Amino acid sequence: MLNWLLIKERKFSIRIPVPKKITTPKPSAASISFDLSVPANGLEPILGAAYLMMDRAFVSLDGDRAKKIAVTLTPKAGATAARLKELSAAFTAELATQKVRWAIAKNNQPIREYISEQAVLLANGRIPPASAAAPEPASEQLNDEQRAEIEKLIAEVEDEIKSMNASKSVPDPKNIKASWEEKQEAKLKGGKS
Amino acid sequence: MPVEVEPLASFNFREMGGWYLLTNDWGQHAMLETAQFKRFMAGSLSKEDPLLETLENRGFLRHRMDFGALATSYVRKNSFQWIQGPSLHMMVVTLRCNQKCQYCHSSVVDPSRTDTDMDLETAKKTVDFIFSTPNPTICIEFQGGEPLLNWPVVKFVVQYARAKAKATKRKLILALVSNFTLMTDDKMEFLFDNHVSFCTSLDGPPELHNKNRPYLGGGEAQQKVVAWLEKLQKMCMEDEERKYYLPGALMTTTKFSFDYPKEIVDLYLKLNMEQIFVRALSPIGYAKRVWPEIGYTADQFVAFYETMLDYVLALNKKGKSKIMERMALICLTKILKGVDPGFMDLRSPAGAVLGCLAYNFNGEIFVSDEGRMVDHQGDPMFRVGNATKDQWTDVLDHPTSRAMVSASTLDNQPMCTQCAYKPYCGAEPVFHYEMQRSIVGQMPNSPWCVSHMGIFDVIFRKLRDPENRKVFESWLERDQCRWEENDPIPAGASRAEEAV
Ligand code: SF4
Repeated sequence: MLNWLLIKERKFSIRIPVPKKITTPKPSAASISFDLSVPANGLEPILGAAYLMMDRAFVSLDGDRAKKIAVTLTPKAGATAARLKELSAAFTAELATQKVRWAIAKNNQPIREYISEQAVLLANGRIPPASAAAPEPASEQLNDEQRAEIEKLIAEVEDEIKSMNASKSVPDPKNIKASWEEKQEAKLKGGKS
Repeated sequence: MPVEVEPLASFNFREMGGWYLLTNDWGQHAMLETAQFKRFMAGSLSKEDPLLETLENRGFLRHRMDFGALATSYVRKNSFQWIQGPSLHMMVVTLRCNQKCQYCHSSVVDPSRTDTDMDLETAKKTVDFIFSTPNPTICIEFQGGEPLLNWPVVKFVVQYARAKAKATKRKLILALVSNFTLMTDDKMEFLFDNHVSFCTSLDGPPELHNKNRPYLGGGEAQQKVVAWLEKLQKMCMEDEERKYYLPGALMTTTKFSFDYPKEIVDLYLKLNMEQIFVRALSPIGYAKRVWPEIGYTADQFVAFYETMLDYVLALNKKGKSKIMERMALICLTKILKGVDPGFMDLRSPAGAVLGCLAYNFNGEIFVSDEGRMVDHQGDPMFRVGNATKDQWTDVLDHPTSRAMVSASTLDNQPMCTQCAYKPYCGAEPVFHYEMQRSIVGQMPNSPWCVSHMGIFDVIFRKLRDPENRKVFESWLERDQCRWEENDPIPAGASRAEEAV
């Protein structure tokens, strides 16, 4: 069996727009605030950028996690107009990087999980180790038969990934998988956490 | 910068000033010039570009991944994850000590306080507990206080553990961490005969060492350590059977060390030490109280570390010495060889409980020796059982043990999970508890993170220089020889850091 697996290249790609400017920051005496659209930026990148600012600033987030979040940055080392501007620029840069990191992470989650699962099986002796010296096929030199085999393998891997994802819907009667925020929301709505 | 996500496999990256470092979970890395990185991110590497093949082979491109090889690489890199239970067992046979070290990590008591000596019954039960843990390799390290102050118990544990190892066909490694002030020829012979290796503390020249580690017994501590190190070295080199028990020494950095970078290395050279381990002081236990007098910032430590490493590298390049710096060696073993060197602090999850346990003189079990030090300051947070009455499964199931594992898994840490150093790094819950009152910690504000990120930065930058790389590779080769000849424990290193 061929050791290398090709994942079919898709016809489309995701472009990450890098924001030129978040919104015009309004410097006040002590802090700077701006609004961010959640659908445009994604919740995780906003939270990620906020977390990374903690060495420089106190960060407060407010608003609707599905729509718009108001970010307030208060510098730890005394607020000046220049420092506030610097902070908002740093946040913008962190946000842009976070969007890239999250897009890559999400796009690869099934593959990471698949390789980790293989590693566990390998470590437990459930599958044989890959031969380090396994020759790597040059895709340009494949004949028709090899191409057909690869296509078959691709289909198999895609099926496997799909079924792995599908099999993840395990019962969760105690709602353990719900985040703290989801539980709080449920409580507010009078539901059970 | 335009980014085409689709061809990119899972990886983390770090801007290094003119170039980028890329790493992935499988332990592979690549160093790209900024222009190359931009082409890679934009999905515009041409088919002829040799970089394409390199990145494919290392699992950075999604359309062509060797799943089997990457899973194998992941298993090798995280070998500690597949081993059941701790291998390193630190036995504190007494809290008494005849030194009053400035930073005393071990939080000791006066030599008259014999009530803090481990008794024989507790010692026996502790060894029984240790042998009930499932790891096929057991490393018992005698710590204190000064363990030689409770010599009868050290002797008993050595003999009893050896008998148990023989009966149960387990591999046993024994190590003594001592200040050597109470060492005698008889004790040394006994330890050699029973395959106990030696490790001590050596902070530098007399004016530095004696300031950091004043001796209560009269005389100068440094001179005693040096004399015993010389003697042990000589005995090991003269005897084929003993050459694997070359003594190791650990240096602890206080702010006073900053004035002596060359002198410290030169002393290690003079003593023919194979390695020097430039270690930061942790503000844990007693050291936390005296931090304003002896401590420093993480940035200051990284600058000192680089000065030391530069000097060690310069000596190697000039052919004046082959001395190795241990922290660099640990990191390089992970980075260049893709294997785990068994260093407890740099693991995900951390070594606490899953890799090591510490036993106090009264049988109490702690997640690590640092956890025991916190207890000594009055906070029992890291106590997970007692060897005289609990089972291994009680310790493993203890809520604190589980919290330690969860808190120190880097994929659970918002900053670490995206960090280029994740494949090589670790987070220490006791450190963060002491510094930030949270075992999870907050990495953007963590001195632990600043110093580790700084050290990795230093090492990766040096790796780009072909001459440095040659030196680093020669270290790995020599260290590997030792591993092969002498089981997985490299000589000259404290077993506290190096266990299977
Ligand atoms: S502790 Fe710091 S350097 Fe280490 S992985 Fe986490 S973020 Fe990176």
